Amino acid sequence: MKYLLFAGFSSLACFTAHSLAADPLYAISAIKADKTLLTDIEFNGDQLVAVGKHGTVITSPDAKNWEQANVPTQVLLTAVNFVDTQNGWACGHDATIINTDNGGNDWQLQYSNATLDKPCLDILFKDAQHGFAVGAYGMFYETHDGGKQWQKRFLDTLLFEDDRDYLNDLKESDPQAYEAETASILPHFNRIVATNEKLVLVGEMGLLAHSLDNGQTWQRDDEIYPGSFFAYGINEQNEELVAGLRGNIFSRHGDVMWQPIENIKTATVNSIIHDDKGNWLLLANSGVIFHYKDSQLQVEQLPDGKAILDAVIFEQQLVMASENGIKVKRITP
Amino acid sequence: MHSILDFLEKAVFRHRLVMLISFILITCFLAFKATNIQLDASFNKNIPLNHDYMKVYTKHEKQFGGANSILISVCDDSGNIFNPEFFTQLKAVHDQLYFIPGINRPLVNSIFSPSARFVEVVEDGFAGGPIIPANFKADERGLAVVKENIEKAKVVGRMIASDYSCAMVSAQLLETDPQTQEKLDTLAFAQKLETEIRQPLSTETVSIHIIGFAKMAGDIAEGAKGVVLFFAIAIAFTFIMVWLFCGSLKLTILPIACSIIAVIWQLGILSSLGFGLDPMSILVPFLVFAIGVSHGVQMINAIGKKVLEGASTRLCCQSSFRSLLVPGGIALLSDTVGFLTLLTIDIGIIRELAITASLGVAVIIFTNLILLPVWASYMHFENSVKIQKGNTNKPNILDSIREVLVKATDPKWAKLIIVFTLVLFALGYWQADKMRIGDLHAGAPSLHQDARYNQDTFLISDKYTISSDILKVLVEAYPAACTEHDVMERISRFQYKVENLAGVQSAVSLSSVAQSVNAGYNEGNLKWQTLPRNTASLVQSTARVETSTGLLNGDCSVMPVIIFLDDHKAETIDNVIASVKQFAIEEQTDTLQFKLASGPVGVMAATNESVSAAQLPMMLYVYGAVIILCLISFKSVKATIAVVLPLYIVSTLAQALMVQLEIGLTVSTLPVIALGVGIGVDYGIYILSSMMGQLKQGVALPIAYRNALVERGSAVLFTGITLAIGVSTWIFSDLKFQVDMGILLTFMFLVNMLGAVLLLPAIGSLLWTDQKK
Repeated sequence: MKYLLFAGFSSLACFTAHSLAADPLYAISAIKADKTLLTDIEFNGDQLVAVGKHGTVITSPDAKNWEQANVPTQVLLTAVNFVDTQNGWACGHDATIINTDNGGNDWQLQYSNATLDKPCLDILFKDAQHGFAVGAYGMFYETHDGGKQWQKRFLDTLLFEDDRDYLNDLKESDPQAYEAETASILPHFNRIVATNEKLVLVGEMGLLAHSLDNGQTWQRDDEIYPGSFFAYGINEQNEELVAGLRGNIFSRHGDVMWQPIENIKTATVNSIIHDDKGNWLLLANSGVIFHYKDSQLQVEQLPDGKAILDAVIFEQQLVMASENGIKVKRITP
Repeated sequence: MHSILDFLEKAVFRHRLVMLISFILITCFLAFKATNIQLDASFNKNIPLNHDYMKVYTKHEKQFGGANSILISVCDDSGNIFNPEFFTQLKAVHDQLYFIPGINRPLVNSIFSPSARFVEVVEDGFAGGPIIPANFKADERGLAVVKENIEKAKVVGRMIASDYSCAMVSAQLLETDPQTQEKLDTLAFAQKLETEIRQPLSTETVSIHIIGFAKMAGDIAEGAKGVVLFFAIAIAFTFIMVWLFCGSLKLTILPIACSIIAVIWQLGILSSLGFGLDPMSILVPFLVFAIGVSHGVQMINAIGKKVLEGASTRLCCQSSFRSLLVPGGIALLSDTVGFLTLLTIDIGIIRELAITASLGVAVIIFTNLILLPVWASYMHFENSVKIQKGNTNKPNILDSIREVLVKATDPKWAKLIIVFTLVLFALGYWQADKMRIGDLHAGAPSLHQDARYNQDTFLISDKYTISSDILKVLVEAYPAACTEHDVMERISRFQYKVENLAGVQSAVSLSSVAQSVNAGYNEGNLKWQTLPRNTASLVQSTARVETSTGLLNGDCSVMPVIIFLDDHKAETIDNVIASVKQFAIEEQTDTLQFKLASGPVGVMAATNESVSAAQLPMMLYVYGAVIILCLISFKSVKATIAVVLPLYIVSTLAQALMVQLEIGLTVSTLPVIALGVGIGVDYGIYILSSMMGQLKQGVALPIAYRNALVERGSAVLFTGITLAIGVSTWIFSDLKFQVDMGILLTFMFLVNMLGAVLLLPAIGSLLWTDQKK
């Protein structure tokens, strides 16, 4: 592999689209592509796009007929995000980032680094130029040119105080050890979400952080739970929900404290979505869907018990990306 | 030739009392032996052990289990298993199965087995335990806990039906008992499944469904017992018909009794040689009987006619013996040799059939060509024979039929017959070409679709995501291969391609399990369900997988990919195997080989390939034997063509019929093609041998043919029709296999007969053009 390293700042390197393998492996064309593990799904205004196992990207205008896109990677893709009907990005293992400019039918490789051994776990674009790719061990990449160049950032403000002091010492005494430490000292960033006022980042070890300046600086919120968070959501009524491991869900309205929501079902929540009336749906492992409305939590159990990774509401249907592919369920009003 | 015949005639008839007594003694002895014969089925017998796949199979059988498995699905009628009664019964089935001899005990698998555990992710790592806790009580709380554990353990679709209405107990059988070294008695085992599991443990709400090779063999054997009744019907019918045909009770008894003696000899000798009778070849004794009757009727027909001419009984018998020993002997010898050629097929059950059938046909030479005339020579027929009487008194149907048949030698009619036959043959050939190898239907094709076994098969494939139709591809690498990302990635890619084939339900391998474990290590987040790049994490992921899962051996140098298929139809297997071979080539390296195959479907694929490979040589050998023997006895290429050509056309048509009946070419149906040749060859040889003597003296073909018909034609027509009607009753059998065979044999008896009396003379008229007038 050939890497071209462009000059950067001390804790900021930038990579271009050329830092790729010369001849990438394309995703295997599979007749059951819509039955494989899918990790994320989005509606780009034109069609549904879901990503998952073995570089699988599938698209559908109607949630019934799915077509597999041309994708120049075979890694497990973990997230997809569109800024309009045409331009979208997806990311996955080996810090792979791919993009499309035709609504998800054909994809190009923007970035990939197998030696890094870090999966990207979520990708978010504010607009067609400005985007973030976050992942394991504090992986945080940012682009200002639609992904042509990705800058690696180290969010040291999210470190615990002890760790920060330790790193500061190390930076001076042993720069090499410092580099090694920064590679794994931060928790996994599991999800990045943009709201009207801020960016929210959630992750491992109870990480809950926000940025009020478009991602330039990040503040860590007070810890409310020691386990991992995987999902965050905010609805039109400004009610926020954060959830994670073993069915731990917290809610907040306005500036009050986060409140735990009582829940006996221990399924890990993967994603949080809401309908246009602000009713919450939390998609969880073991085929569990939590319904949350007016401080009432209800548990729905799908019969096959397969993990649900994400879902979108599409024409009165819940279209789910699950452990065994696409599942569609009518929403009863 | 004549001197040999003279010698034989003198030898047999000069000592006919000694002959008779020794026949009686031998028959008594073999009858005693025959009573010991046992139905016998064994899994390994059905396997082509020298096929490449089966070498892989046997090489890894000890580590990864064989293909002889049994699945027991315990179902609750309410559609929900979580009630105390169900769990009591399920546990009883598990425990009971464990103690049935022949079961590979460590591999008994259900939610009650100690290896059935769940692992869950908690804030500080993993937590886990057995699915059924040690303090399990089948009360509301206990059942709720078990339900949760089942979900966590991800066994739904495998150990538990997808809709929670059934639970599975599975096990593997040992071909030989490790303690006593005794061979597994498959049929006794199948019996025990009924008497010790299904009957005592089914209740009003809990039903038990059992599938697997052993159960299938047991059910077929059970159905095969009903076959005896059909044999009895066919024998009784034949008896009445022969009586009507010859009008003499004494003459009737001769061919029937001698044919039955042939069967007794066959079974006696088989039993003495230590063979049993496989349920699938249970039809062979009947075929021996049928072929025996065919020859016996020729013999009494000849004797009867001679008696009418006024000669003494002994002289009649002597000359009949003399005239029929050669054609009968040739026909039977070519059958024997034909069946013996089946020995070249390297599948136990077909070899066994080759021995059973060739032995049976060979003994007919003694019983019906020697014993029958010797026995007859002690009888007095003067008053009872009326074989020719009817013909002389009133010009009856036989005469008019004969005149119609003789027209076949008329060039005009001959051409018509040949053109018609060619059209039929072309159609038949086109159809026969579509012959599929292997089973064409889901379930056990030997049993009816509505048979319990097939219903259970459909239920299990409906309720679970796995089936018993398992193909294992063994990935052979080097020690510690599972710690390398590239190796595991190739296996993963291979598996993904296979999973995406039509006909494949799902697949599992060490690679896919390691990916799940990796997700487990990352808090159960499926976004991590992939192979970690660094060796340490990869080792961590594979280290949790025990060898008892059957997914790896001790040093993970061998890792099977277990593939669950929708069914085992020939088409499914063909497609999957072809693609799997392609994927194997795409993913293999010098040190990483994807080897086919194990599991029931691996065995079936090997069998199908062996059957396919055996088909042509078998036909060549069978026809080769017939051709050589015809050439020797007739000393005429024309005669050989006249006998073999109709035979070939009829067996092509029979194959077309198999396609029409949706019977695939399998271990059990392949021999039928050879047997068909054996059944058909008699008629032609009898007719032609009668004609040849005359043709050589320059007699015109139509006259020679009419004489042959007078001499032997009625016997040919009669046996063809009688045996056809006798076998046609088989369509009422409980065994689908017997129904199919009944239709096929009816067709072969009838059409071979037609071939001998219509096509043979028509071909003759083209071959012996100078002798038409």
